[in-house]
Amino acid sequence: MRVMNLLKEKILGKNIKILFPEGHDIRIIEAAVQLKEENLLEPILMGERDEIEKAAKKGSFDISNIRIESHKQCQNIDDLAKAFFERRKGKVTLEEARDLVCKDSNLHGAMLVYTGIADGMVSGALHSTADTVRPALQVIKTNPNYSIVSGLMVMQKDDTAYFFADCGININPTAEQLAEIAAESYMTVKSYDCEPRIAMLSFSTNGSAKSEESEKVKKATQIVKEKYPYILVDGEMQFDAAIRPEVGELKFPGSPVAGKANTFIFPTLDAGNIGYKIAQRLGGFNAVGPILQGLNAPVNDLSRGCVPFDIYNLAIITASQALENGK
Amino acid sequence: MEIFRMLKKKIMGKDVKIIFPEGEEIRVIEAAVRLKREEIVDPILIGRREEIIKIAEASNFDISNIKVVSPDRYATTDKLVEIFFRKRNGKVTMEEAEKMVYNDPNLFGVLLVYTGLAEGMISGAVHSTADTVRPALQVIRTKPEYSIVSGLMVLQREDNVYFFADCGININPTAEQLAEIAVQSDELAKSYGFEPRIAMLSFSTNGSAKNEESEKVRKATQIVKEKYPHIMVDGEMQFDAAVRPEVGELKFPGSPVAGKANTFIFPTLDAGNIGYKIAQRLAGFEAVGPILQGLNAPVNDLSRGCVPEDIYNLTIITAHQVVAGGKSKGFVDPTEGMEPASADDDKVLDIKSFKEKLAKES
Repeated sequence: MRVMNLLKEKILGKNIKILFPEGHDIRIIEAAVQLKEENLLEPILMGERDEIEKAAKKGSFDISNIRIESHKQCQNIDDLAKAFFERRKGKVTLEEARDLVCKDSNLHGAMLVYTGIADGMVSGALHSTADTVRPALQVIKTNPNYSIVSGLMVMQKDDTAYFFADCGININPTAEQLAEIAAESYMTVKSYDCEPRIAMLSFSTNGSAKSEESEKVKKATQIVKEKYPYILVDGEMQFDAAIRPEVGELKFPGSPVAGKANTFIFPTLDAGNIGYKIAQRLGGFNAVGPILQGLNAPVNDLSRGCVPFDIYNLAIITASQALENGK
Repeated sequence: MEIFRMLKKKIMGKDVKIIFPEGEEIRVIEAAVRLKREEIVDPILIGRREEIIKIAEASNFDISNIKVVSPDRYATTDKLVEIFFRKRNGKVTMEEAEKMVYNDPNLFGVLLVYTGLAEGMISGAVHSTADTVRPALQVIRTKPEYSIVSGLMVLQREDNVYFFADCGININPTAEQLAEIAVQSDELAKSYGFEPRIAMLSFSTNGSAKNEESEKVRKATQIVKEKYPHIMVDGEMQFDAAVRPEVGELKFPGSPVAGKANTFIFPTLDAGNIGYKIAQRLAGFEAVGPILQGLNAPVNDLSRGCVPEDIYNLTIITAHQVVAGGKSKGFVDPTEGMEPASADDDKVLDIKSFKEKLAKES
């Protein structure tokens, strides 16, 4: 995948520290070994050392040069607990904070990223999306420019790369939130050395239908245009108007985006999630993500059915996000 | 597309009468000529005869054996006005009704279908979807078992045929409406000779997320299962769980549909419209439709960018809906004191005799 090769080049040898809270999972171990071997990043496996070593041995992986962090026997647990207690501002007691940071590997991992011990985190091979994302939201929090986190999919087939968002987080975003998703996607796509041309998708093109739903998308487009005049964005438009020059010209004449969009913002999670899966399963597109965008430091969520190659790819993406953040 | 060959066979020689309210449109004339020549349907054009002849002759189409009807010359237009007036039940005055029937070819067209002169209608090459569908809803109305009309797309690539709905009409259907869309799609997919396996789509699979949106889809699935136990349906599920056996088995074990669905009901119009266009534009599927389902007699809507081939294809689909639904002789309520109008009505002139008449007069 071309985007992946580009990202690999960017992060190679930069020793970006990526934390894996599910360190004893054999798929995680396999991916970490490969990432370390190729000098792409510095993986940190979290979990009990003997458990991780046992799993590695069973799979015949040599992990002697991979860093392991135990959350249960963490030496800085007092500092982390205190930092979490302060971050949550009265929502938990210090005692509860200590207990949580000790038990919840995702929370512990998010704290290590927050305190700068790691640059980013990849989890979700064994945890639900909610369990992976919640600690990140509580501790790492959204970037001051944004109020929400969204999930972008990189869709690639041969030489074509498209970006779909939001495919994973926000069920029914408001116009303001849709605008944020577009702005976040702009930053992500930019970091992949692509020039984003953003289509705000709807069942309506340029006012062809009048409804609350299409008005929302139209309004979101206006917000992006006003707040970020340098972003190439247009909408609301249907998918064919976004991607086919002849349809774009007919239904949205003069638009700099219609007919040649490469970044697609979906009006709801239903549309985004079903949409990317159609492109993947019927269109044969390779799908990577969702890449979480909008956090102060990158945290990404695997699907539970992931294979080592998925973990390898998502770690590379996470490292590139950390690099973009100035690590 | 394979499906058209099959449908053509079913309607060939049955002389299904299809009305085209946009009879003065050259693309419609071209399609009608071909449909008549191939004996696929009996097309009837609405419009001014002189104008239609002029347009056809300018492009060298021989329309001498095609029927033309215009509200001004049709013998029973005033009866149609009366029917429409009564049908609207006080929502329009007699005067308004008269103006509308004479000036709106789509309304005139659905009244002809309603009174049995034609059995189905195709419009939309020039008119908006709303202008095409509204008169159908007002006059032809939904079948008694349904409360809404929905739009199904047939997607085909090589041997793969999928059905997507609703891709055109209902913006944010309720659980009850989603259930109706599923039942209508089951009926239509069956009429094409398929065994529908219906996946009710969502961003969630089998309760993996809890929220209003996925609950709606879950509830719709329950309604279908309870009301129509013979329909193979499951949900809510994500698209990959619906279409890929290995994902279906993992995320929705034991489902008769997951992993092998061929009919997909989308939770909103946004999802359905964007979804079918992704399949069409990124996955190379040929897309036909939306085919309107749920009406008492078939009316279908062309896209304004359509070419004669699209009109030809949609006519085949519409005629097949007529044949599959049991060719009716019109469904005028006898209490309205109306006889179904006859296509042999001497005012529905075919072009040949009209031209002869013109020649005589001059």
